[in-house]
Amino acid sequence: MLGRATDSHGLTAETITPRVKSAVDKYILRDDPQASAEVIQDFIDKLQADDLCLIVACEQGNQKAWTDLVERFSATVRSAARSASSNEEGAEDLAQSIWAELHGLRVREDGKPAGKLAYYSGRGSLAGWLRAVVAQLAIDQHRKQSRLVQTEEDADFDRIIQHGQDETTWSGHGASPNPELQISAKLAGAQMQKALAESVKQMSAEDRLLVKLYYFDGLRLREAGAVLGVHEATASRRLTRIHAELRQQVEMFLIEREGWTQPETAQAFSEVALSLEADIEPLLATEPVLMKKENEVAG
Amino acid sequence: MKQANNNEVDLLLRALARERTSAARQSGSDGGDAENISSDHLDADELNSYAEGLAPAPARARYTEHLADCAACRSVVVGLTQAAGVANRLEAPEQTRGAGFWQRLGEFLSPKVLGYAIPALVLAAVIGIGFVALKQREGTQFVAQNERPVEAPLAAQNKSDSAPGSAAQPQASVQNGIQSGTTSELPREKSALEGEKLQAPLRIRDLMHWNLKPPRPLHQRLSSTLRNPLSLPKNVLKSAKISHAIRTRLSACKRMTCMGPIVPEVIPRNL
Repeated sequence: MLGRATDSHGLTAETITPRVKSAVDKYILRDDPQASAEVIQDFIDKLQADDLCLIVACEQGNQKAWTDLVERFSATVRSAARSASSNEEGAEDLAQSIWAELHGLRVREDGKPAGKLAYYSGRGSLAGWLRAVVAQLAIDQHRKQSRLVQTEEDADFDRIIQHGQDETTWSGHGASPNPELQISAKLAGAQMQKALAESVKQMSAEDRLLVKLYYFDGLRLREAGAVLGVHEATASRRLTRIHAELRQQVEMFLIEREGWTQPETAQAFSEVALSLEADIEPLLATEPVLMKKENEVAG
Repeated sequence: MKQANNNEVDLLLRALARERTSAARQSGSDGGDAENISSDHLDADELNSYAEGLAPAPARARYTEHLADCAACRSVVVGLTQAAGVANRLEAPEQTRGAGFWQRLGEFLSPKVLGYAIPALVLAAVIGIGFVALKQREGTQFVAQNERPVEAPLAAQNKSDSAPGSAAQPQASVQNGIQSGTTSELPREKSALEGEKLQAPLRIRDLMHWNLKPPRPLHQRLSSTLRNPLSLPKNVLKSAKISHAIRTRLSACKRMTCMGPIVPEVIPRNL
């Protein structure tokens, strides 16, 4: 490990070993306590030796290493702060506070500062880790300032499911003059909404993440695929498969739990979709993000 | 029908996303316990290793589970992925790895590709044929030109064998060469002609080249084939279409050779 580093900053095996062991525990032994020596060795071989030595040297109080760290990564930190902040002044404050967070304002039991440097494992690049630290700090600051509370999305789905049972939000026959038909259509829409929310919750984590990235976060397929580590074309194929599976699950849910028939589900799908298509048109005129997604679907 | 089904589910998912967003806003304004949720978030190191695709598979699956349900961590990972330029790195391997042989063949034979490929192939074929024809024409000229230095010593030798001071050296050498071998070489020439080897007539042709300078283009020589067949190069003489006519003409030439010195210009034009 030290041999791979171009500048070991005077570190010895005793100082670097606990850090490497901590990384192995975190990424390998936690999920597979019986991991083979080859797997562990491969993991260690892929650690960023230079970056890890620099960070450990900073943690050890090496002033030259600190100077090196600030010189090499101050531009990265400023760039990340600008991306995370809504204004230039906030970005500058955030960038300044990062170095204090890295160094640590409190002192640990061993007398060394309890900064965030202790959490860098060397698995990813140091620049990426610094960006992540800046982004997390920005979210924390934003929460404290605006008292905006992050909610669990599972709870949101539960709320939607509950909402679907109580009220009627999707209306398949909104333009129908017959009140009885209107009520039944609204009820059908609500049941479909509930079934879809349930189906999304039951999907695999990988598929659910793709749905969240594409539909809920408004990312393009290329961006969503990059998060998952797959190409845009692969993400598109997965989304097509997810559509088919979701439809099957929703139909099964409606037939088995709500007592619908097959023709009723097919009719409800088309009518609710028609209604939603009509509802979405005014939004498309005002929301560029939605328009972008529609174009991707059409393309 | 399948596409219509997909569009229906697509629309339903969009509506569900809108519904969830409004529900989250509503619950956010009502308040909640943010610290409990924050304690379960991925740390910066985990987020970065996920975004750069460096997390081991079991750990990655665990992080995926969390990211699917945590918008805050997801937003950080999305930002890190874009900053790392992961999308650009994914493109090239995916294109080469994903396509099988039949898929690539199908793409190659698609109408869009063939629309450009067929005209390009026709153009390439025309250029190729023209190039080959040009090379063939140049080749015939080179045959004539390249043979001269070889023929020169032969002519010089014939010249030394013949009487010095002769005014028509080539003709004399022809006369000398052919006359000296009239009885012995004629059967050999006949057999060579029958086998389309054309060894003996080449000496006459070579001497004609010695006199004809510079060599004329092929089409001009072809027009005078019947009048003077021995002026043609070997590869033209081997041509199946004209070999019969030339063979007839060569036989006539040889008959005249038996009777006396041969001069191409004296071959009757009506033969």
